[in-house]
Amino acid sequence: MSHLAANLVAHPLTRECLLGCAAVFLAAAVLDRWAAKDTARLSPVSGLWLLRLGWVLLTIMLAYQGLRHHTLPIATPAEVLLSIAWGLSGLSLFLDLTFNHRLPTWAIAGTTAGCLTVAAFLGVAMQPLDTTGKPLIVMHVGAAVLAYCVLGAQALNSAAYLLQHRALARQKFGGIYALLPALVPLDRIGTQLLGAAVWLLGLSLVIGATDWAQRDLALVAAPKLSAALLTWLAGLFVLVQRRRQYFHGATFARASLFVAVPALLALWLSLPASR
Amino acid sequence: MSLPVRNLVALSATHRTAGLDERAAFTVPAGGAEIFYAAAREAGLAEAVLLATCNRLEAYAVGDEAAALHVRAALLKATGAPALALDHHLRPVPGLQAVEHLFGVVSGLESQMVGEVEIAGQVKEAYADALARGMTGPVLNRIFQRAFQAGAWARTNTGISQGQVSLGNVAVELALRVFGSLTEARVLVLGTGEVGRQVVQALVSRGANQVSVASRTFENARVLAEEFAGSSLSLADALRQAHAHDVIIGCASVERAFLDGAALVDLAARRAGRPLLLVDLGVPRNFAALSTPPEGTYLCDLDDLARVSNANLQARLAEVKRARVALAEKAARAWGAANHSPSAEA
Repeated sequence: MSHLAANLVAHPLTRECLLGCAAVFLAAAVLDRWAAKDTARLSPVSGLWLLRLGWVLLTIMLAYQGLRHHTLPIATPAEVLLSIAWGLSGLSLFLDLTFNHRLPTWAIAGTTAGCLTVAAFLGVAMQPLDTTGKPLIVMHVGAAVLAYCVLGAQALNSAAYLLQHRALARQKFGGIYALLPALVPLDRIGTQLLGAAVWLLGLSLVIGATDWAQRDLALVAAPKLSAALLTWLAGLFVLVQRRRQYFHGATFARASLFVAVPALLALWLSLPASR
Repeated sequence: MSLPVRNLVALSATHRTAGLDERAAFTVPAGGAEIFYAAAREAGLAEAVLLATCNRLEAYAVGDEAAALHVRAALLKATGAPALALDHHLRPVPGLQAVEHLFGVVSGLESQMVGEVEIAGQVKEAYADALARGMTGPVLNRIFQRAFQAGAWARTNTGISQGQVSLGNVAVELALRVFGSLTEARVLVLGTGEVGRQVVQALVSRGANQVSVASRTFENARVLAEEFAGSSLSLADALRQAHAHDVIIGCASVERAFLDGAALVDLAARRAGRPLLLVDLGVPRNFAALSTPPEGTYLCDLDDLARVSNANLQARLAEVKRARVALAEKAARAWGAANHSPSAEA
């Protein structure tokens, strides 16, 4: 027991810890779906409270890991997945508390649990990111990870919009559709999220470009840069079309989902394992 | 000569026997009630009450052995519907079953949206109309009074009226699923009848503060709008400015749709992608039924809303069963009392 405790203190992101944390998020997703049933005698926000608890738990684990090893959790694919899971659930809680815009708790909690489970099996190795002599790289990676988190939230937001749109268009009002937020707030928040993602990814690209311009250009990973640029251009295009009123409603939601495709590719190419 | 109470009969055509478009053929037009009661009087029916709502065409009558045939003939005259069509959907309900049926109707158990309260008011109005015309007597007076008491009992002592079941509230729930909040939504209500009033009331109570009311008779729109601090429009102006509204709720009695397919497509185009919710509570339809509405336009009709409402009521089926059992007992007592009433036999 003391050996396990000592191990946990030394390395809080063990497989057991991550799976335990994933279980909390999974329970939040199940509880949220269950509480929505008429027959359940549960508070409708019980799943949300568990999501909040899971997020606090994950934050503590990541912060503890960071403080012990003086590094950001972005060095390995598992760590990047953890960061995305943390950002996604944190962003949904931020939207709920600040803008009273509640993304489906079951979807956020389920996605987070999935990311944590995959990260647990990939294994969080102790590979401190070497940022020696690269002062801008931490900002570059941080902005990129945050941008992908926002894009992930936007993709979920768009999926929720399309599901609600489909439900209303086909006069299907029960089941899963009753748990979805209203269309107009989803559309409004979707525009803001895409704006934030384009801004963050643009910032990340500029910082990265500045850093690379000061070094050997041969170090630039062309596929990763191309995918990230494509994501940024696609996001910018959709955002401009939205502002010009060419894209709206379901069209905007579909286009936002398409932006998530190059974003996923860029994210995968950013992982150290893919290099 | 005593009047045999066993010849109480009800003829009923409802949403359970006829679809939305078929029910449109059974609408009682203005002056139809007058024709019905004149025909009933002429046929020698001792007592008769006509109940005509958007989902229900019913008549309760007391008379001789041929009472059901006389009622049918009177209904045919009142509606102007083809005999074959009406016969296909009319269901005769005799004696005690008619009393049980009436109790169920007043309680809202027979409604498309189980437990709705509006039907009690509509039955009261129908009864008051018959009373004013001198077409009620000892049997129907007693049975209708008992039905009103039974309806009030069922609503108070069972859970059949819990939750959102009225058309107005269900329509507002739908609007909230599109807009999230109604404070910034512009709402247009076409029609100022009982349903129109309920819709406006539900909208205002849920935070809508930009409600416009339109009617063929501008004065009716003005009165209703003033009551709820809304604005009033003439029907022509309302249709001209329809694109400026986010929610349009049609609850008017019309002969043909206010907005046909082409008008709906044009309306959606003028909205420039902003979502538009059309809720059609009219029978016949106020808006043309489109198999594929333009993107961003959501169209729901009376049957859709009834489905939503009844889905909400699934959990209360046990309560409905309990209410039915209690109402059947009350109906049997009322039927027995009517049979043994000295006034009924006089």
